[in-house]
Amino acid sequence: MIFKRTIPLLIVFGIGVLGFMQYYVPHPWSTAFRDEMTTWGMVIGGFATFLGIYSLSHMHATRILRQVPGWGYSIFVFIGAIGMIAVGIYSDIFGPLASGTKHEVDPFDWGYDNILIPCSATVFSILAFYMASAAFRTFRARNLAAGLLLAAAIIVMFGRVPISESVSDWLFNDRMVIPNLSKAIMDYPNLAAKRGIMLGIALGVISQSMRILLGIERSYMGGGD
Amino acid sequence: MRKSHPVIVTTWVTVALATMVFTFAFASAFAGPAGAAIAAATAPATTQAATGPATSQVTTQPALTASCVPDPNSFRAFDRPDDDGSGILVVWGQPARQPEGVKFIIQVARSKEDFQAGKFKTQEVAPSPKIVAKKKPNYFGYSEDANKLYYADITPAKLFKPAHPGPLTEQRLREFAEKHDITSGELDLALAVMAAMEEEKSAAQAATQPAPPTATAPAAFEPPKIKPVRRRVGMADRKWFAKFAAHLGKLDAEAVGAETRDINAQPCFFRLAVKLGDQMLLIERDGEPAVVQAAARENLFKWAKLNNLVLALIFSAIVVAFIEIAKRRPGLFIRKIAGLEAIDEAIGRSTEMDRPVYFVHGSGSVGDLSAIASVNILSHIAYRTAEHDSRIHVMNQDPIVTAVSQEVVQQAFTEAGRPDAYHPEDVSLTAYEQFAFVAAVSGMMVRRRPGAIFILGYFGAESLLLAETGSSTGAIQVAGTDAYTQLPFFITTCDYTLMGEELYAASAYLSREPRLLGSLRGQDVGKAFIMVALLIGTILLTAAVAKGWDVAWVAWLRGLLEAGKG
Repeated sequence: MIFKRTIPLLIVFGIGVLGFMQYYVPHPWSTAFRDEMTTWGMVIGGFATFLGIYSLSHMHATRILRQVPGWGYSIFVFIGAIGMIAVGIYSDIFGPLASGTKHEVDPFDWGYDNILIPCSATVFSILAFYMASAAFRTFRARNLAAGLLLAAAIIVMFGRVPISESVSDWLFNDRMVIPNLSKAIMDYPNLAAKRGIMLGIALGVISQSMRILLGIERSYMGGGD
Repeated sequence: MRKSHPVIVTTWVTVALATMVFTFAFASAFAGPAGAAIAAATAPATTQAATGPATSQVTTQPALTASCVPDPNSFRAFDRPDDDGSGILVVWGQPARQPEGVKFIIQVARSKEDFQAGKFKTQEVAPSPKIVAKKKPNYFGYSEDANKLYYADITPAKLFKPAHPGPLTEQRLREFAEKHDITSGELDLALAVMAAMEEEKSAAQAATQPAPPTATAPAAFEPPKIKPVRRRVGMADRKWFAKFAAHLGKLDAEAVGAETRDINAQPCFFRLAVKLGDQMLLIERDGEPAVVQAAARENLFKWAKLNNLVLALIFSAIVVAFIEIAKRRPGLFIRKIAGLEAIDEAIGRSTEMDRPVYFVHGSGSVGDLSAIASVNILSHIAYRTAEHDSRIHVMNQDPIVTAVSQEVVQQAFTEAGRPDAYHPEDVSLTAYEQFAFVAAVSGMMVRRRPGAIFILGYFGAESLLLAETGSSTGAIQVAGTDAYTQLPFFITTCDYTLMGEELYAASAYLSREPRLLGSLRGQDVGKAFIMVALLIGTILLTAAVAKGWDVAWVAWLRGLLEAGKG
């Protein structure tokens, strides 16, 4: 119990309090402590990466072996991972497959720039369609609150496109009425709500931190409360 | 008469003490760390303005007059507060007249004599709203007097730069060896690798150069040159040298860092001049150019954050007090959180439909509180899932969170009496890249159609992609994040959303453990405290604007509120 509970909790308390103090102490010792902790974090992260790779490989290997629905996609995980590792080693001039010189067109960079980034951009671009479908579902004036939300959304969206100035000029003889209204909604009611949420988050962080530092909250260590 | 509970008394005493400290912080922040400097700088400026400061004219030009020169008494230098000893602040009063194109020249020297010898550095500052001291309330406070001052932030090491060690050469390697930073064996090997690399470079250059014209006359016999015997340099040696050079680079960086700290710690002397075109007027005091002195110090506390610390301590004291109260008086009332009440319903529905439960972590690592909060909630959800004899799949973006999640889920299944139902492959790293993660999770959602989806943690652009895909599968979705920019997406697409603090409260709420619930109560009391403070502040500021009060605390309060704008 000492090694599984008491010592970890003491470490959490000690490092937690030092981390808290570090925020208020600008002395180089404090900065050195932060840098040291960052280094430790990177070391732990490095070990955890191996665990992550094992976990990923284990999951996809199990899927292939059991031929669960969609197991074919898991093959691509191995093709992609092994392929990139191989070209990564090959690109390194000191690697076992190295030709001895750095390539002008690095195969690893080429794979990253021409496969991963376009794929990521493709997934990101879907966001536009999802936004439209989510907005369509949400902006239905079913009650007063939803109606107000709809009206505010229309003003904010419309106030942010150039045509709103022309329409504003035509309706109110002033080019900036609708853009200013849009800005006012963002600067006052929206900002007030945002600050309310942020204050709540700050209090939640303090409360959660106290629970963890005092060892009351231990779910993250496994074993419930 | 009913006797007060000792914990309540302790709480009130703590809060009262903290409030006293906060009042002190209020006064300190109002005065500002450099408040004394401002008071001294601005007070005599008025009297000096009547007579005009004494000046020495380096170049006589009619356009630049004495009224363009700041009051010499306002010219001061002092250690930059709240820093690690790398900066000095120089302040001076705004002159009565500032012709267009005028600039302030700060001359920095290591001693007064260096000014005479011309051994000084200069920093040019153009007058603009950016250099008004009021822009830096953390240094100069919220006083209106700061509006009349200009400031410059001087880092001595940027002016008196430390010597750069330069590229790695044979000479430098020998210097490292003399200082015993490297061994003689390392020196020999490094020299051999460098020579081999140099030779290869020369050979490559010779190969690219055009061949010399062929001589018509037969060349005279030359005896073959005997190359010096050199150690063979293999690929492993080169690899070693790359690491060795990086290590030496680190030693160089450390040496430069130490020298930089030394340079910053030494006292600096400052003179101030006003420049317009070719004309320059140097500020004088008692017939001599005014010289001020300061040295940067390594500070131990960020005084500008004192109010932050005091508030954090007050709220921490409130939370701890309510934890103690909850231990003695269990059964505190806690408001209902719909999203958390729905967890059992979602898991139950999932079990009835014989579909798995999906738990999607955010992008934070274990250093982020949102990730820790998510892991805490995962513990409860995994336990309930095990009780329902259902299956849970946990998707992670971070390897460390994956490892922690595996431990937490396994422990939860064991505690629920179902260790056999735990499948290690169900809690795995899905992808490290943001959109690769989205693609993988979305694909699994569509193929396996889970009955309940929990999306908890910190999210960026992936929030809507995940939630909208989950929504299309017909699953009950419970989302929670402290990324307020993503909350609208979750609210529109999920059945229940935990907003900000509710994410942190979830674990305590679900456990129903009295001490954890006490902390939630403390959190709510803290929120009430902030609401009252905001209300009072709003009333005071509104009254101040309506009545036209022009007192310092109004400016301070307004500055405090405007500081977080946007």
